[in-house]
Amino acid sequence: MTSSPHRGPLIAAGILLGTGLGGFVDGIVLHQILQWHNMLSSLRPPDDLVSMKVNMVWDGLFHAMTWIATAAGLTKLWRAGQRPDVPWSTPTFVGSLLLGWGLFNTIEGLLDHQLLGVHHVHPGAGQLAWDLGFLAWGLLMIAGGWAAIRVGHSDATPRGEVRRGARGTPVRAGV
Amino acid sequence: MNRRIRAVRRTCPFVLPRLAGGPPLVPALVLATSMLGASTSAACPSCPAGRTAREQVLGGDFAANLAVAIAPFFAMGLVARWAERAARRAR
Repeated sequence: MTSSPHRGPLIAAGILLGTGLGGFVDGIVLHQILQWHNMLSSLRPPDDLVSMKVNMVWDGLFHAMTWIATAAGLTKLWRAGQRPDVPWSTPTFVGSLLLGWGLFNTIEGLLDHQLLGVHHVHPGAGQLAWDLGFLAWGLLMIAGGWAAIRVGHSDATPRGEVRRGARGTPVRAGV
Repeated sequence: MNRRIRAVRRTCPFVLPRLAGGPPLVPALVLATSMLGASTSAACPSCPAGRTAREQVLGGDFAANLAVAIAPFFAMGLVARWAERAARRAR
């Protein structure tokens, strides 16, 4: 290390990647595979071909945004990997991924499901329970991510360092 | 193709980056390209249902719906920036 460790770039990269990957899970699993909802399905129920196509366009835009978040996170991670002052800490990175995914679910849930009502997780009977469950899932991931980031606070493993294990065998740093 | 869709295509690269909060340029270009793609590469690009859907997507609520779609991601961008700065202050 040439200066005091700075975990910020790794955390920011993890948050952006968690946002993108979490958004892809939402879009691929809930929108496309299970077809529980679409981006505007509460405003424009997809019960005819035109409405389905309208929702498909907005789902596509949602996926475009998740792609941008993933690309931004990857760029940030690449740059973090080039900096000698950024510790290559697995708990910090995994915690940041969870934090980003959980925050995204919470913000998206509060905004789109609760405030604007453009769609619900599983519309119909018990939709509030599904929406609250989605928020609870997000909050759990935030808590888990935060805890993992705290665990990684003391992990100052430099990128690419090879440590020796108990038996003297090389152990990949940060793993 | 109607005049309205052509006008939106012309203005997309300039309007969308502002809606997305300005630079960076690459995400704005990807967003603009995806919208151009949405208006040109529908499964049935010239069938009546496709035309109607495009007109409705680009209709009166376009800006509001776009803002709804972008808002959570924009918020997460701000969170990531804040987290990086907070970690720098904490070291």
